[in-house]
Amino acid sequence: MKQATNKQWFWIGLVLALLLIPLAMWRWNPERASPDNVPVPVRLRTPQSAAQAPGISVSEPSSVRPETAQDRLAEALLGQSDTALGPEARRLLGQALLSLENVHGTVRRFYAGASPRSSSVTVFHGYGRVLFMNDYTYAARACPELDPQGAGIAYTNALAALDEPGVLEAARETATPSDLPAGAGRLAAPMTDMYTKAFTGGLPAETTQCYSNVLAMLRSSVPTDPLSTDLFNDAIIYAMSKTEVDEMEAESMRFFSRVARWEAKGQRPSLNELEGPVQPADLTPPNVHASIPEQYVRMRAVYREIFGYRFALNHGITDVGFMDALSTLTVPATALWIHIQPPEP
Amino acid sequence: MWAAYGLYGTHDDGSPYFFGMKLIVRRDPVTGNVHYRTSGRDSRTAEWYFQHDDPFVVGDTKGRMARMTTTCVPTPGAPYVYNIIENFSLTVWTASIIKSGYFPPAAPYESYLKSDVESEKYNCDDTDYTASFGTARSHTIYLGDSGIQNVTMPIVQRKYAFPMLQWVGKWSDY
Repeated sequence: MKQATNKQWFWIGLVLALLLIPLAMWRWNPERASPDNVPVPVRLRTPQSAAQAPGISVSEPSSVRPETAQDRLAEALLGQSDTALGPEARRLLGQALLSLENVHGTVRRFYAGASPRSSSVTVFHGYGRVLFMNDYTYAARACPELDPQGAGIAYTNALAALDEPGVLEAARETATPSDLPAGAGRLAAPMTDMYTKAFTGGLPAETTQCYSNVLAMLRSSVPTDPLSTDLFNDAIIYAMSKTEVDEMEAESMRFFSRVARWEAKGQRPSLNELEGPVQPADLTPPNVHASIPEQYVRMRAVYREIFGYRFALNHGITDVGFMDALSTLTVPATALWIHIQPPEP
Repeated sequence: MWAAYGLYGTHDDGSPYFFGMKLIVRRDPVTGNVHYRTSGRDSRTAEWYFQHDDPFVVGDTKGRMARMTTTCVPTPGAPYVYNIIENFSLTVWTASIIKSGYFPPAAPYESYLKSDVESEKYNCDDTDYTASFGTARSHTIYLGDSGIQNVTMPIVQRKYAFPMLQWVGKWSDY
């Protein structure tokens, strides 16, 4: 057998080294070897709900098994049956879940035959999410035992909890309005800097005027201070959403009216004329089918249903005249993105 | 808002054949995604009606929006007219200005908005009205110190790129 030369030994050693060095780096990696850095899996679904799924059996000591409806609700939303939660926190969580369920139920009722990709349904479900996150953030502000950063996980759990048997009943039991006066259906949580800044600074004058109108209307119809709870926030979001629908309808009607005029005169389309002042003929253009205004009527009805439920459940206001009076107010939707979004943790 | 409308020849009985489509943009408050609702048009009575509610992709795939009008009359004298009109405005919020850095901007703090724009030309002689894109250029819009403003883009017949660049400082910073 021919003896290997020095040059060949060099190449054999190089290949072995190239193979062994990554192996050694992987084997003696301190990050991998340390047990402290093993990631802990996040438990979104609870063992209790996992045990209800078919084919999964989780042995759990009977001492931590939830016993009351409040425990079942807290477990469904927070992923744990937290006995440290006070009754007010449980009530606010129950109200948040009921409000979310009401949004989904209302959308199902008003858009019964709609396709699952329907943009109206998607936007309204987005409203449900935003309102739930707002409710959770409010609850975390009012009750310090709640994790202020848990809104996202709570929403994920709440979506699953809508289909779990017994949870909605538990929420209804928890969130039943007690003998509180109208407007005081929630524990007061003073406005944080984030909300105060958004309400007072950087707004155009006409928006501030519209806010003052809403605030004056609330103060005249509710005995408590609307700024001590999120009543004012709810009223603003409702008025802005309704105003946005009104503006969309007016914009559509104006466009159809302008097209009819351009075609009658043989004119080309004009952006200046489209953005021009509103004329009486724009409000009821002749060549529009009834299905065009009908969709805006439906959107307004959905908003009224969603927020009427919230005013009754969260703030104890069941007066129909209250919703009528609030529906006459307009708030420009310029500030929608500030007020509707809860502060980022 | 995006709409196309016009005349597409005639029916068999000689009456004009109308066509039209209008999209209303609505934003998802959570994701910021844009949703469209579609209105159609009756070909005989020219009556607009609500068509459907599903998302619909408008324009090119970059999701650009424009302020523009287009009118095509492919054959002079023939009953074919094709109009496109598109319009939008932006709600811009300027707040929480941070005056920091090595060279912090001096008061008054001014905010600016800028976007790449693109011209688009339709060749009316093509049967599919294919657009040809022109050169891109930028434009700076003055916003003021702070607050919420509805901004209407000043240059028409252009497509605007998103997201736009918004900054505080001098107009010549970017």
